Amino acid sequence: MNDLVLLCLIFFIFVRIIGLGVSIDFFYDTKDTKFIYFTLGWIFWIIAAFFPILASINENNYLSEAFLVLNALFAALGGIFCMWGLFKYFLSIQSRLMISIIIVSIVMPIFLYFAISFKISIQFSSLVLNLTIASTYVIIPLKRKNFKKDIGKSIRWFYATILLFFILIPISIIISLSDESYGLYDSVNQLLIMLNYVPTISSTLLLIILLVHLEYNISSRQKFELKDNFSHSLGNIIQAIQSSSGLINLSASLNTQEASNLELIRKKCKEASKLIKEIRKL
Amino acid sequence: MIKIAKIFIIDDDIDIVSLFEQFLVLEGHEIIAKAFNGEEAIEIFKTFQNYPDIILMDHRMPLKNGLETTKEMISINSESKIIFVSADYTVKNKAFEIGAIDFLEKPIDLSTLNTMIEKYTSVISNTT
Repeated sequence: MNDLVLLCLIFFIFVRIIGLGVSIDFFYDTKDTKFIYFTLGWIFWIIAAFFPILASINENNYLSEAFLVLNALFAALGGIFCMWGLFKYFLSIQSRLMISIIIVSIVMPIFLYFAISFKISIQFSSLVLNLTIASTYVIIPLKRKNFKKDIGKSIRWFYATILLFFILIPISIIISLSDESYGLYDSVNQLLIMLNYVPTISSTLLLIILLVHLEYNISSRQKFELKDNFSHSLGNIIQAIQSSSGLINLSASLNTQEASNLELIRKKCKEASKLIKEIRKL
Repeated sequence: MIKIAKIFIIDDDIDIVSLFEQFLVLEGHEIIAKAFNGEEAIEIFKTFQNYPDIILMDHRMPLKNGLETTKEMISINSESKIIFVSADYTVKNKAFEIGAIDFLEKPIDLSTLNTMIEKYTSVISNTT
């Protein structure tokens, strides 16, 4: 294996481990099932990156081919799980459909490997991976109502991730036309290796940034809603207390002590009003 | 000489409606209607033969919020004088944009409420 490809794969593993750490951390924080999918996705992607290395150090040709098949298969599974997680941010998706896709993406490459050839098996897994990612990036903005409003400032990261992914399509076409091997694992063409791996690694990094940004946005929005609801409810409660005391003051003949107590209520209500204004500024 | 207004109070908080009503009646105003959500307010508004001088409008209400209710009321009677009395400060600018004449941020002093009503009331009574 070319040293540059090996370096790219090691870097890839490193980036995916960061993604795994982020997903596990978010899962412990939120207990949201989408992070289970992300976690599984990153695990599959990390394992996938090890197979080409194993294939290159293995001298048995059949075993090397099997490792490459597993590389493509695990990469496809990683993509399916990560996109499932991303999907769940915006849209609900039937678990039955996803499980069917997962079963097909496991069974079909194995069947194609044994029945036809390892190359067809790899091509099938690559197709599954690319279709899954492309359809996720296209369906989410199209199907989700108020997508731009809901995604907020994370939209720039969403578009950047999409852009990098779609940049990879012509690169993949160039690679397939150049008669290079799958994943460029045996290639010596450094320009092509860079063209293939730089956008791929960058889009993985962008996916992590998008994930962090989305979570930050969601927690900020939740904090804002909490602050808004609390200050609104408190405002109404203080309004009732203040109005009641104001009415008593208007309608009753009060002794000095009672008038002083009412004045205290009025004063405390004013203090509470100031506090509400401070809460709103937070 | 005092200014007397015919007032329509819209708020989902029954206690606040009751307290505003007691106070405004004491001040000599007439409460011609009360509603506890936007839809009810629109239904009542459509039945008026003489529109109220002032409408006190809350924002966060079930079925239809204050902004939506205001829009509909203004489309029915563009002369409607709607004062928002809401703890929802985020809608202040929007309220003005759609035609509210003023905005009071809860909690408010009852005297502030009366001053505001008198500011927009042109009917003057010679009650002694």
